[in-house]
Amino acid sequence: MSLRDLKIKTNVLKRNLKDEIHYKKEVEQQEAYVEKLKSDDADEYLIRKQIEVLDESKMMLPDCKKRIAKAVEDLKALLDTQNPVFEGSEELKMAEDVLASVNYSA
Amino acid sequence: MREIVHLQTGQCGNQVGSSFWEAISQEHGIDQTGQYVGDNPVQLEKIDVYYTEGQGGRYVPRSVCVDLEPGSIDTVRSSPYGGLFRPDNMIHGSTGAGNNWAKGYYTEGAELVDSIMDVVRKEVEGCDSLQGFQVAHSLGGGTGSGLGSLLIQKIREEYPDRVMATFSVVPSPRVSETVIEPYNATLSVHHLVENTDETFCIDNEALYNICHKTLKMNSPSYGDLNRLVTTVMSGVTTSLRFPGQLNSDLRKMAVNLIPFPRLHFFMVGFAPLTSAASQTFRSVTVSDLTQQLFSSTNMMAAADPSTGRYLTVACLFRGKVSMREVEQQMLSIRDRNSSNFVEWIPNNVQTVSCDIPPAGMSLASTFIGNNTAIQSLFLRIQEQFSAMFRRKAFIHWYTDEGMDELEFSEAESNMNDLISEYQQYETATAEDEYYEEEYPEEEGPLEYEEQE
Repeated sequence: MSLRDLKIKTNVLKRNLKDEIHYKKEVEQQEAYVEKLKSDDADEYLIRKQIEVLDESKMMLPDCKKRIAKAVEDLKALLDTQNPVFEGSEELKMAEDVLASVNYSA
Repeated sequence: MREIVHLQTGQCGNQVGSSFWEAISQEHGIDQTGQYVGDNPVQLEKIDVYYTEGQGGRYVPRSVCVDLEPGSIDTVRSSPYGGLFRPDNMIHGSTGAGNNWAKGYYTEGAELVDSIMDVVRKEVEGCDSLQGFQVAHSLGGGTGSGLGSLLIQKIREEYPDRVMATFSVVPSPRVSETVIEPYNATLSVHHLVENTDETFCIDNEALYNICHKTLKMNSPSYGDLNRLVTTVMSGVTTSLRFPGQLNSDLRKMAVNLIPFPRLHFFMVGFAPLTSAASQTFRSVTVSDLTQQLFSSTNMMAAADPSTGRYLTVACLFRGKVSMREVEQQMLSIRDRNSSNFVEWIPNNVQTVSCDIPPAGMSLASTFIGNNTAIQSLFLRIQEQFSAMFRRKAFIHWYTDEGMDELEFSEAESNMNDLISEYQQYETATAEDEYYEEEYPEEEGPLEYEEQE
């Protein structure tokens, strides 16, 4: 396991965290949109379709959580190897920073 | 936000890839110099999925064009929309792969792959929130198949969590260039099974049949076949490119359509398909489109979906359609053919609609099916493969490049496994506990419904 692996695994976690933020925002926006359609008395089929779109976005959140948990686990396992090449490296600092930012218990 | 990095490799990949860019540029109102000349804000809403906004409001395709010889890249460059592409993202070798997978994957391709990965990395660094990659290539030649497999693998190593989608052109003896296509295709499928998340199978055999029988062309050219590929590529990416749809990103598509990770080979279709001569005599209705979509004559895979079963389906309607009518038509087709849909995945048919039709049409629809009948493509290749491999015909072309025969056997058995997995799910029923125990999959629509 090299510094490259450390960097790759750190980036995986970073991207998945970003995905979650994205999907959370998407759910919020879509919820607001559906509410607006309802209050505007829009076409019943349009409303139904947009609720489907909302449900799909919601479905992505548990998916994200699972991915994040897996990424945290992988990264921690790699750090646990205490590989001497990691010591003092920028990659290690980055990995620790990202891990610290995760408020899940893996 | 949510960017996709597109790669096109080999002659076929570059041809279909650049006509894909031409088609979507027209749909999004991007002219040949990269300027926006459209008139509908919806065209720009998700423009950053495929384009990077450069200096002076210029839209640049997030595309990397690769080949082992200069010819096809030169053609891309001098095509009407060739000026759109970043010159740094066009990478070519000089020797070619001579239709040999081993040259694309091991020798010639391996020399070029690092410089390609540098460009890919640069594109990824420019992304705010990358969703994944898409590769356009053929499986029959040397570069698209061999170098394509290598690139997919390298990208997978570096970005293991991002979605990898491919538009893979499957070879057919009808449109054949070389006898060793079944070898190249089998070696590629071996990699696709392991390293991609979504593969849209575009079967040259079916394209030929559509041109010949449906579109009444006597001797279809590559250009004719590629036009079909473009329509379908533009079709399946519609929900990624326009707002407010189901399947609005590659990950959602994977979650919706793939109940088992290995079974990610999609049958794609398009309607309406009518010959230029009879076009003016028909006005298209939603009912026509639905009928055609589920018909084997409209599938870009030489496989009859009615002989297999649908695990999942997504249908996409484009143009001004009534959602009510679409829903009703889809329901009725599902009811009439209920035995064709596996009963153990409820609600496995999705419909998507998008107001903006493809250029030059008022109504159109695209079909993405995860149907067990796709196995007949692999069976066809497998038969051609084993006929030659049994006699070790042409194996020296590969071993001369340093390949081991063992790799052939491995690829063959992986493809055979894939075929039997499709067969297994074709016969599986809801009561069949056995399959659930053997494949305790975590992903898939079933589980999400339970979580809600």
